[in-house]
Amino acid sequence: MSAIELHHVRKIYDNDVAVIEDMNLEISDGSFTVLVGPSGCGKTTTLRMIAGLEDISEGDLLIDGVRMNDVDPGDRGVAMVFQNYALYPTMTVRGNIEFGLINAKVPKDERDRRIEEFSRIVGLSDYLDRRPSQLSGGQRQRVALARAMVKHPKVFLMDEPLSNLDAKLRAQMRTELIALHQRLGTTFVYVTHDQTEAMSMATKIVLMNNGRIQQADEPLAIYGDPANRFVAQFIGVPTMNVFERGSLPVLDLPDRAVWVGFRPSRVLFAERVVGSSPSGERELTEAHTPEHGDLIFDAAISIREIMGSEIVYQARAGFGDVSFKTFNQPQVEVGTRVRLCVDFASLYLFDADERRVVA
Amino acid sequence: MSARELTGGRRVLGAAKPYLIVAPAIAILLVFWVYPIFNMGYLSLFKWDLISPKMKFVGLDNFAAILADAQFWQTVASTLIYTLFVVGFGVGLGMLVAVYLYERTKTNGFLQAVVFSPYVVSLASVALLWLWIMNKDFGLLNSLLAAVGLGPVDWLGDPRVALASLILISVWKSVGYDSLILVSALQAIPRHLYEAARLDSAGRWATFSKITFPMISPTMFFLVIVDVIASLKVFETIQIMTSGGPQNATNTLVYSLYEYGFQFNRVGTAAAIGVVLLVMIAVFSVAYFKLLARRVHYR
Repeated sequence: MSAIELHHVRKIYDNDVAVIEDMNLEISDGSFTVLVGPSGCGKTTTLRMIAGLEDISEGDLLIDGVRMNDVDPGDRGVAMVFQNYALYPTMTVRGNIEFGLINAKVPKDERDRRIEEFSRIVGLSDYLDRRPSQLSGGQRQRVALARAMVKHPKVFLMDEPLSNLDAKLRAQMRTELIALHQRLGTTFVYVTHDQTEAMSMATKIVLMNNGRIQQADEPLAIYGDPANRFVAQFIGVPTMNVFERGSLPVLDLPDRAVWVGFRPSRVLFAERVVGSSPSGERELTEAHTPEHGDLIFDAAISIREIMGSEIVYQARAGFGDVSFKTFNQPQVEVGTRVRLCVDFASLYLFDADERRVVA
Repeated sequence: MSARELTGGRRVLGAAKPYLIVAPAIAILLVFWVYPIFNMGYLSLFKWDLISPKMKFVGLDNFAAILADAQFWQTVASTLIYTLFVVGFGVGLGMLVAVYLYERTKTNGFLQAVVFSPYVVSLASVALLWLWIMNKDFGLLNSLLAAVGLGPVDWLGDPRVALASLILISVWKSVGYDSLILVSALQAIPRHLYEAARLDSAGRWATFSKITFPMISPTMFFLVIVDVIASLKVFETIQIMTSGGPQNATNTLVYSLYEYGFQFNRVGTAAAIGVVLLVMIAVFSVAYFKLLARRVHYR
């Protein structure tokens, strides 16, 4: 078992600025934990403290219940995949994969066996004698993965490993990483700023901002039950619509609720609208009949983005711009006036400090 | 206006333009580089005293004479020993200094400037300065040795020490340059490679020998070839400090070339020595680039 625990961890740099404030986190054994947040939120610093590449200013880091604060990175039983891969350019693929094993004094035949095994897993058996400069970005990524796996680490650390790949390859590697995690059963800690990666791969998401954990939970809980306005607006595409309560039509809400939010996917047409089908014919959209107490408003469509089965709109309402999306519906022209509604149960409420209020 | 519409004269000018632009450089190259090399080869086939209008063709006699001369071989040996040690210590110490000065701090910036300063001073001034420091009777070095109870060393007068003294001066002068170049090479190594190495449990030696050294080896090779060529051509310090003595112990190829050519007025012999030096440098350079092409190709 390889659980990671952080107790009251702080990270302060020389200029007395704390980048991590009193962090408490438990990463359970075998989980695929994704640290996600905007640039500068402290997610990479957290990962580097777990790896041992950054000192921990205060607090304790435990791996398998053993305090690791003063243990060398190489002795923590962790392996890391870097954002830019950090492959040794002067060594061959084999040399890159083997370097850690030689340092760990693994016998030669065992080394060869493991190199053979893991180069096959990542599909690089034919490239062992190449140098990193002769490989494509995706292949370098695989070398970095093999170099990490071959050490049989207790914990896998990954710092934005997919950010240098093109969109298609990134989606493919995402699937491969999920498969790899299931196959190895090792604890993965993965840093990204991309909420899609977080949502698609994680068994647990740790959402950070300004050096603090905003919420640590399973992906669907983060999405469906956000702890505060930041979490609600960080996860989900397009971003959750949030307006000041006073600007909206009157709603029956608890007094503490100052901000009201709703997901773009929860906005529906309250009356049927004329649009056009993919073949260009006039067609009416579906409509949802609102019930008493739902949020109902009029707006004019200002921007339309067609994604395929999904269409994302922005519409100008009296209180501000609202994003919403339709699924398998005819497309509506920009400028069309529409009546929209949001089910009362789909409203998210936040108090003056932007913390979630559950009605 | 396309090229097709140009008049005949303008088209010729257009075609000649690149040649016109490089012409001055080519002219300088021909007059000051190519011609002297061939002229040296030509002169090496004659017996001539630099003044008389008569040059006597002797074929390869000049070469036969120097190759049969024990003193010439001693000169070649001194030159090679000098080169070996100057390059070895210069680049080696430069490496140590560079590793020490690797971190970018204010102190290190200052120290780097100090170590580098000898390189800025002209070699002739340096030679005069060291002539005084190494003086047997009232020089700084012997005063320091006397202070710790060590007997005077005749730095430049003792045939067993003189060449080493010249090597010392040259190393002192070149370490700053070598370390400056190596510091920048070290600083160009991406930090994350060292982080990866730490996670790969690499010790200090493994990190240096497997990551740092291979990464800076192109720079090391560059320094070696530049220093070797400079050392093979050493002249100023010898001319000013020892005149090739004592007992021919510090005579090198270029200094003996100078002696034959301008003191003994034996231009043919001097030219023959020049040809031998040219061949040595050429052989070294070709071997070096063959080696370089094979060993340093990771980029």
